[in-house]
Amino acid sequence: MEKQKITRRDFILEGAMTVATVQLAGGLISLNPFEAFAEESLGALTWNKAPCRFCGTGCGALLGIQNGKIMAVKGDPLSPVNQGTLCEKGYALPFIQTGADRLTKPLVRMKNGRYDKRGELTETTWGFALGLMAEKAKAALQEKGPSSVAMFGSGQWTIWEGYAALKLWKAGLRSNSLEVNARHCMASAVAGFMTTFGMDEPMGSYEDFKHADAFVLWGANMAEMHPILFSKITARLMENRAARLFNLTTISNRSSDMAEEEILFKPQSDLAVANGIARLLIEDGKVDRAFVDKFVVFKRGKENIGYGLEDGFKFEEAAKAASFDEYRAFVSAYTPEHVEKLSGVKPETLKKLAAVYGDPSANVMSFWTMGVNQHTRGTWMNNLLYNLHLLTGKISKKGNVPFSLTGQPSACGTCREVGTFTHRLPADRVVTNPEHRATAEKIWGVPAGTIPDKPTYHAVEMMRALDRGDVLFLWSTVANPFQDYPNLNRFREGALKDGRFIVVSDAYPTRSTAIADVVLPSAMWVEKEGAFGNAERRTHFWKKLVDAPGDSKSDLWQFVEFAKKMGFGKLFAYPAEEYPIPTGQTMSDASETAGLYLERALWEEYRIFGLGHGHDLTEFDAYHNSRGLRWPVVNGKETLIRYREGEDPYVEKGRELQFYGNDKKTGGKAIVWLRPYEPAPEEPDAQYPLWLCTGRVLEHWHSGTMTRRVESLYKAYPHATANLHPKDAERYGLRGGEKIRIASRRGSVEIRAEIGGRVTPQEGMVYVPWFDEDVMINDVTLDAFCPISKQVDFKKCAVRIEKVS
Amino acid sequence: MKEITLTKRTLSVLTILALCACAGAGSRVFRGSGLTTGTIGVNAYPEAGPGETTPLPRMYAGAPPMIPHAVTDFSITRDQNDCLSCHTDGGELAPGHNATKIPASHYRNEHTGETSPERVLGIRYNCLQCHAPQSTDTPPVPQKTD
Repeated sequence: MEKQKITRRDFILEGAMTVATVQLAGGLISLNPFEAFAEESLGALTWNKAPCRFCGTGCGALLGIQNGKIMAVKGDPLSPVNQGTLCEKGYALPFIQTGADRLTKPLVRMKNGRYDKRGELTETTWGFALGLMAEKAKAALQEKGPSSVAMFGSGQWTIWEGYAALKLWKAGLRSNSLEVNARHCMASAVAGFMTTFGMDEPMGSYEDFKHADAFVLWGANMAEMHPILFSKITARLMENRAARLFNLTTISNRSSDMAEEEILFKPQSDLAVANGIARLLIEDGKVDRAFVDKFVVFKRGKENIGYGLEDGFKFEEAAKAASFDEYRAFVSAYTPEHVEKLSGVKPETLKKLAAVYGDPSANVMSFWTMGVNQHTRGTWMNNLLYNLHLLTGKISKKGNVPFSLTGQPSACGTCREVGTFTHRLPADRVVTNPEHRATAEKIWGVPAGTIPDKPTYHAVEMMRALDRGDVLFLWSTVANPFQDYPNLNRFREGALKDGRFIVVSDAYPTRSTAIADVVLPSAMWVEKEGAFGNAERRTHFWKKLVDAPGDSKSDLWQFVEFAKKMGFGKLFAYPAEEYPIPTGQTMSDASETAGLYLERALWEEYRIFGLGHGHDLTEFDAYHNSRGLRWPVVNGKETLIRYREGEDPYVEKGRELQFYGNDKKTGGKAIVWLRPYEPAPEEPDAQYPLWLCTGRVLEHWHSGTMTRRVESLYKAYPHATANLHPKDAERYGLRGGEKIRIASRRGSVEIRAEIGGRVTPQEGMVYVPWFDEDVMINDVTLDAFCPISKQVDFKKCAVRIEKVS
Repeated sequence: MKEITLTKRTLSVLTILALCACAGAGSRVFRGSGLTTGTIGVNAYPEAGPGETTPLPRMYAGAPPMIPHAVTDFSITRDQNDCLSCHTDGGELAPGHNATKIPASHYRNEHTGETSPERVLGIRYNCLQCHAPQSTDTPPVPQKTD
């Protein structure tokens, strides 16, 4: 039965939602979940579910709709993720689609009635814009081959949008030049999972929070970036006085307020801290030897692996087997004193952390996101955190999870699971593997040999190739690359060169639409039917709830129509009788045009990739009728703890624990990697004496294009400021509010100093969030990346500051 | 603190406006300038303390109220939550002062059914995850007014 539309009345009738009153300290208080909504002022609303549009937490929202408009939002009480709560951004959801300057018509740069790169963006028709795009794509194919036609998408794509893009690019255009902003966000997490476990994504789920005794944050300011998950930590800390929180960070931040200790370490030295903890675990006899002997092998990879700063940089890992004794010898260099020298972390603090990880009776969860992933040794750092949990056996067990958090609402569901990267195919498959290509070609019904066997450009190299002229056609959707990329001066200039054709699909004018040749107006979020996958492997769906303005169209519609213009329409032709449009349902533009339920058709095809392959997704309606399910979903049952016998249906009987992603490589054992500390590519020096770290704030999502159009969020944090340590402010003679210039070897920005703001970096460091279109901090950042994951380090480069009079 | 400078962008918008006059029907030149204002701003929040301000209008009925007063040096830790002393029902307030009361939703987990009559639920304890002080700045782009 469809359970999508819930009227307020139905809602109240549902068991858990019963209107009730109880005697509280302050008197009789109504517990109607809608008590806060002044009913008379809102009139009759129809409540519908949808996942929040923002971060990877994947909260459930209930949207109150009236006359085709979202009037109110409430945390979905039926979603186990957020249990009726939302964060500041979530409560702003009704306004993210309704900024006054929504794009409503396709735009093409025109001069004298024709396309001209130096012309003005001019309103046109879809037919003209798509026709021009097809003409330019065909010209690029002719001139430089399929790799010169590129798409850049994001972890905010719905699952079927990512899947359609992948199919169009790899099976239609025969190009592997497909990348996503998740490369800047989660690639090190993926590489960490793949190298340690042979399989992507966390083994645990959000259920584990309530069973943990200690939480260790590694460079993740969860109080601002994952507020609802931080509220789960807070709940555990408040209910269990013995529970502990440690905040390892380079910047003093809000997450420390609930912590037992804020542990500041110098940028890049987390590698040394993790190895130092491992050394203490061994020295103090805290290693679970039985676990290690049974479930772990040791490996040593290449070292001094570079930073990817040169165009065309290549890296190939060469791993050698190692023994426990070799591992012990390897980490023995990381004495507490040596670690203190590199990191500034006091030996007694390091010992305290080692005691937390080493306590056999304590359940430990570690958390990380961008601090660890946006790191030139990001893959190594992910490996090192898994090492701590593998040495102590604190993994795949209730309350024991090394939890790689995710940034975007569908970085997992779309980018990682569908595989929208140059080297990937769905369900952890890769284009370099002939069997994997054959599987995809069979499912797609395309001739053998269609999918090219070599990856082309990862995200950074794609922009470098655009600058060089190796990429000629670039289509960006649900992303804002010309605000988001590092070393932006080079890439912006590259995009503006003659012969480069840039298409940007977006809902609003952005820094990227400003330099595009073609701008396509996108239908966003609940203006279309969608599916996201969150950080705990939860896949969740929503239906189209409101109409998109003007001629805006969903990315799915855009991809299918472009495919038709390119002659690949049959990739998206499905039998209408098999996927009929249900009566009474508001369909997406893509389904309406196709005359069939296109989302269902794509879903049923896509999920074949994962069935019986450890990535089982179940049938379409199950997701619309629930608050999401965590894969693998086998026989209708979701999996909360992977790799553990009795919890995960893929584990063979009698194995107890089986890291089956590594079955072929190690017989199902996880890998502890010997990974050293190596310095950052650009460290502060006499000329550029400060570290620059970039990131987000609670209120703003990425480049701020949605959140800065909402009054409450804008007013809560209108501008990016440069957060400084008071001693540095004194050294430079700066007071809060004064204008400064931050300069690196690549570029500079003007910004106002803030001392004693929401965050305080340690001495010798400046923090700048990147949401502000008037402070293009990525003109300053460095395009160095992790050689294994190719993920950029946005957290470290050297800058100088000066007062601007 | 604010500076309005005539950016290159503003100039090009003016040029576009001039061009518009001669552009034919169906080829109207796009005039969206987005959020780029040329302002290098600073975030300034109300200095008035608790009890010295009045509640702000909510975004919609049921939206979390935003904070109209300064929260400088406020503490939200495991042992102390400065917001609760005024906003908890029954809190001691000086005569003539009011504080928006924390609603029932904060004492009952609607998913689990767990109630916590004595204390705000742990998942609702970090007040600043939903409620924030508001600066006097206004967004460069308003909401649609249809």
